[in-house]
Amino acid sequence: MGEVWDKEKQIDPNDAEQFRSEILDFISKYHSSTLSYLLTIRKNGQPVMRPVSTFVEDWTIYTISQHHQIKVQHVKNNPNVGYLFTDNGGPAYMPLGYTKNVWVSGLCEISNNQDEISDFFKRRESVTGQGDAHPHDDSYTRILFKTKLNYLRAEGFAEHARPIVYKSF
Amino acid sequence: MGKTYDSEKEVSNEISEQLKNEIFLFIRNWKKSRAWLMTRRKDSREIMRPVGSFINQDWSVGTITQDLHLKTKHVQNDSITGYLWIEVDKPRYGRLDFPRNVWMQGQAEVLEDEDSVNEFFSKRSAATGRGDAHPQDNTYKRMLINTQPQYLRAEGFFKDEPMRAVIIRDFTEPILLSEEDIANRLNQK
Repeated sequence: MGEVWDKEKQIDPNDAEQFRSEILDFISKYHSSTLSYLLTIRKNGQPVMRPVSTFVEDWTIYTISQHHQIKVQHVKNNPNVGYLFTDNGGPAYMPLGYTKNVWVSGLCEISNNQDEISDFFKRRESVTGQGDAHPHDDSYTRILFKTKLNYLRAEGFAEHARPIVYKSF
Repeated sequence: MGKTYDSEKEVSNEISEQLKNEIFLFIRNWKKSRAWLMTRRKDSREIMRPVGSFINQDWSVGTITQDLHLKTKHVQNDSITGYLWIEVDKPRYGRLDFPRNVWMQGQAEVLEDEDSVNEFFSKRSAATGRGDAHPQDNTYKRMLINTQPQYLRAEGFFKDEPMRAVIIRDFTEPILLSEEDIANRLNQK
């Protein structure tokens, strides 16, 4: 098919398995060298992205929001979401200067159970040192996004720009 | 709504208008930002991957692809696309310490005719020095994904409150800077 295509085609699914723990580790770095961006779907069906913080446990991605944020409404209307994770400090793996990056899509469930959210903050603090730093007044109601993955595409982990794709978690 | 919400809400139209040139220059500056293209798969779910991109003064954005790439097929099946640009090697903004970033959503078409593709390379080469560096053999068929924007969201640009999003919904007015002005401004950055 040509040299360019050969350097960009998907890794064989069996070979891709060897990268699974490295990729999970990469997206689990709590906002240190890995940055995360959330995609939600607007009422008109068109997607929008913005930076968010994430906490990952065993392929479930958590993000804290507030009740009046527009992204909460988006997810209530359409639970299909996506996250892009980018490496902000590592070496480039291709001439355009790109560093490791992971795209995931999944189904997001919203929790406003404050006991569950409080438990989430405790778990996150024990792993990352980052507890609940949000305002403690009536203006701020914590909402938790919990996303279970159904698709992942990772670049910069295997040779050249060849993506790794996972469909099962 | 509370202090947190106030620090994150959309800026006024007036501020948004003032920041249009800066946002355009940020997207144009391919050495200081990285681009990811979103397309939709056959099952309608979104997917993103890193790409090269070039923004024209009318806000349309071009990305070169090949006929055998999945993203080409995606755009031919579903014209909704999106780009996320993220700045590299610059100071961060806000509580979450992010680099500046721009999301653009639009509608794309795949252009296959050689004249359109060559015109794109000529414009990009004149503006950035990046010509056609793809293989010159029959294994590589150049195609152009050309996106007309419908919605843009930028963070980190309003210096007083950088977490407040700049939203642009109207792209009828092109950027009025000349190519020379653009090159000079980018060289100063």
